[in-house]
Amino acid sequence: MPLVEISNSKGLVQKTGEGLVAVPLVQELSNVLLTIDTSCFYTQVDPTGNRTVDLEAGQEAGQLLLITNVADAAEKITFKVADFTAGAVGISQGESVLCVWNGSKWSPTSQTLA
Amino acid sequence: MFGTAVSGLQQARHWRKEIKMPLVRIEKSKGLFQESGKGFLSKPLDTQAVVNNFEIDTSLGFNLPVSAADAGQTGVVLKDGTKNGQLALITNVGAEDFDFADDHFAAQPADATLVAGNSILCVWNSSAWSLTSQSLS
Repeated sequence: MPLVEISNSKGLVQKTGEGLVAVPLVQELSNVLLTIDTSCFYTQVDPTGNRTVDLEAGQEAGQLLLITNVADAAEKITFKVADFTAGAVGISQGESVLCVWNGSKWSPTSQTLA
Repeated sequence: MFGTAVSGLQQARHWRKEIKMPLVRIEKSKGLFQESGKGFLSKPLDTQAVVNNFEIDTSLGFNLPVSAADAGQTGVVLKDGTKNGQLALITNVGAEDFDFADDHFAAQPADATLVAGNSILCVWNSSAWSLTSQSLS
């Protein structure tokens, strides 16, 4: 039973197991590091305190980006409006957002329809 | 002939060396493949023009951009999926919002407007599209 795994080091691979796994790139966000590297499909961010952060631009329309806030306390990250197609977006401790790059900005999918 | 085989092997090794950090891509013409780069990318298909009661064709592929020419378009639906577990990513790449039809999704949100610039990820549950892009309640 194959396990499908996506990682930056090996790309897409199958191994023994089941399911689909995105291997995360873990990034700590401090008052001096406030830009999220978007080169890995799945990124886990660990902020120290509430942080307003930049997202690196995508490389090509259709790029997918899944971000989870893995803070160990009630620490929120808020993305700068300029990075997103539709207003300010933030994710609190434990929350995730899936985004797609539209060629010029990130479009968040994990939002309630208006 | 042996020389050709060795040459082919050397070429394959050369290609393998070139693809250092793989970028995983999904494209309509090639399906799933890898090339040099990083991350995961699904190339958008042609943009579909949304009008009143338009059916977004989900049979075209995974990444489906849409755009409404005019404001106030309503009654938009997604074409039924063909396989349980099919995924559809819909992005409103236009400047106008539009509304999905009432009672269209497996769990219909109170309002079903796809705002310009936003996206939704849906999964076909064998009888209806289920929205993943919702805040938990």
